[in-house]
Amino acid sequence: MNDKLLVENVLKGDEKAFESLMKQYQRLVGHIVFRIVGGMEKEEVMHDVFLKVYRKLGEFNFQSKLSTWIATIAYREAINHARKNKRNNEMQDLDSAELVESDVEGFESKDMSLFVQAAVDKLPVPYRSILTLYHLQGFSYQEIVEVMEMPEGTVKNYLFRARKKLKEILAPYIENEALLG
Amino acid sequence: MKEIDKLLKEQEQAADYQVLMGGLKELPTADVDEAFYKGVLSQIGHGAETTAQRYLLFFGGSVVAFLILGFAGLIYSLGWEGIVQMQQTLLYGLFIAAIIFVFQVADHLIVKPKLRLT
Repeated sequence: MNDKLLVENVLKGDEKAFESLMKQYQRLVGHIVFRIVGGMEKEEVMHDVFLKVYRKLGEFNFQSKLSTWIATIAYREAINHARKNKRNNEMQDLDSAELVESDVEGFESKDMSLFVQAAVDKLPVPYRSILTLYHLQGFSYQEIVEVMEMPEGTVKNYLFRARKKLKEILAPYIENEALLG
Repeated sequence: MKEIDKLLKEQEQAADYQVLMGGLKELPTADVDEAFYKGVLSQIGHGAETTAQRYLLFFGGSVVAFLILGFAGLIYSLGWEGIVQMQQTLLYGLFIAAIIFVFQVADHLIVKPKLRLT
């Protein structure tokens, strides 16, 4: 089902259509929310995001892609939630993306996803969000500009710095892979 | 802008770029289970109910405020004797107040406990 038909059906009150919409975009919302919100609150925030999507869907005018619109809601909701919980100290300090070694030490290769997760979690929130949107969701620079409300130059700059910092953090893993590869 | 584009391109052309991206793809996926969808869908119904309740309370509140101000204005301009002479108006007012009272009681006994359960 294409987005337009999906939206029309949801607006007609079709709950199944909304369930399809959630299933289609849960990974996008999850990736954004999980990069910003920690702990047990992740699903709670995802829940709030989809409720907001449902309530505001009538305002969506197809000026942008549905995925971009939903990502914007998810990003704002997650940021607001993090702020409410006074976790925004790290958000304000964009240059303090130093990884504490002990946090990633001890992960075996079988725990690689946890290792990468720990590494990404050490990056400042805007870096994480841009990495997620660009590399995991395949968003264009323009779409990220729309979601994060930042100038394109800032988005590119953050992407460059995020990759650089991630590379520093994952250096042992990269070297190991290069040796194996 | 051109400078940053060049830097980004250099990063992408570096020998270890694919390894880095491979590492990034290792990030755990953020999938949710069926219970999550059911939870959201159940809230959608309650959400509509909350909106209806909001309109009801807004409407009821507005009418109550209108009545209070109206009676205050009447008493001020006509005095109590004048009000008694307007028995018909008073009866209409009492009738509307009774309806609002019923809505408020129903809201208190039925709608709010239901919302508390969510």
